[in-house]
Amino acid sequence: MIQSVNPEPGAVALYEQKNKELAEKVEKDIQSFDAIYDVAVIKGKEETLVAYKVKHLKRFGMKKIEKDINKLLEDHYPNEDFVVSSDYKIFIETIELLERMKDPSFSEKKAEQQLQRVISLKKEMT
Amino acid sequence: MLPMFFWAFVIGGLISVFGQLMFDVVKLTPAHTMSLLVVIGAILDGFGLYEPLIDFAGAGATIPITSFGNSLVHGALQEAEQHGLVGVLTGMFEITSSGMSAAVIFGFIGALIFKPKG
Amino acid sequence: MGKKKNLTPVQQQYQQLEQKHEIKRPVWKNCLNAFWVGGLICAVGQAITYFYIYFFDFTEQTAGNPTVATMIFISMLLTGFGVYDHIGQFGGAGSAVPVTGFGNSVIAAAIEHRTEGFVLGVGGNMFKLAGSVILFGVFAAFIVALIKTLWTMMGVL
Repeated sequence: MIQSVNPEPGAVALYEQKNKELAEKVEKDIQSFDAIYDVAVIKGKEETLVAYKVKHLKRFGMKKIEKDINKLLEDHYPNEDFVVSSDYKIFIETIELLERMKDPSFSEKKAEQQLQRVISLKKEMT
Repeated sequence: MLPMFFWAFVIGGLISVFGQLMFDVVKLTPAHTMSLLVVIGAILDGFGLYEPLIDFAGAGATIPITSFGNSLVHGALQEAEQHGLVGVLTGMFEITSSGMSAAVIFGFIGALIFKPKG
Repeated sequence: MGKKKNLTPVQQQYQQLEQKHEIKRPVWKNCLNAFWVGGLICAVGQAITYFYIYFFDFTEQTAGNPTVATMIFISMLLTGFGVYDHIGQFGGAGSAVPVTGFGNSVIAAAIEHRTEGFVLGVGGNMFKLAGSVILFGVFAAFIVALIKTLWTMMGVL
């Protein structure tokens, strides 16, 4: 948890190659940001979850970084919906989900459910 | 994770030093100092400066009493976004609820189970 | 404390005497102690925050709530056992500025006035310090939120 984890990007619809490619491209795009040192991407049926970690000294400008990421994703992938979060909890939940998805017996429906759970966790405000 | 502990310590310490200077140099009472700090927290959030401090210093910014001021403004603004001006009144204690309720509840429980000293 | 208004000579003499005997405060030492104690309390708070993030379903945004509640619970124990007063003696503002200081003032007042009864004693005295904090906090937040909301409505922001 202290160092960079750098997981392989995941796509829930694992059977479709183009989803995995999209997730990989998104991960590369986010990695190109100087302030970011770890990214995890999961592409679901409708939304793509992007979790990232920001270098600590750059955390003062976290709001701006989030805006920049949203803008970049809008520009490059206008047809996709993204859920973007710098939150630590979201990041570790995403990693856990990616690990579970590697298991072939983890059904696609369950993975989608978990993804929705993580996204709704992100939307909680208080 | 580790740098967060460091900065929580430093920022929390610095806010406490500010409070100490109010005690020793400006000769304010604790009540004056804490009220001043809450107001400062509220004003900083008005300028959008307190949230980045929380992002950077974590508990170093959420534990000092300044964060009460920040939460009050935050709650008020959140509701005002949805419900207009009246939201300023209805949303004020939304986020602060945890701290205020805990103080009241544990105060009462404390009075029930502890004996006064001296 | 130093203003020489139109006082009688006796009062002026008294003021000079007062200044001579006033205990000098070691400002630097106090600030250092405040730094350590305040920083330490916040570091403990950070540990509690991470505890809630790892073992429960709280995000960085929402973990502040249980953290503050837990800190106030801890301050209840420390106040009840008389430990918080010692921390306060040593740490000065370092123990008053964090939310544990707020909790301590409420809880200490509640414990102290229990002998006067729960309604009049505890209830009537609990908010001695908290009252000012709540008053000025709410009013300042009201003004700030009002200004910000009006400005966004009028399109300035």
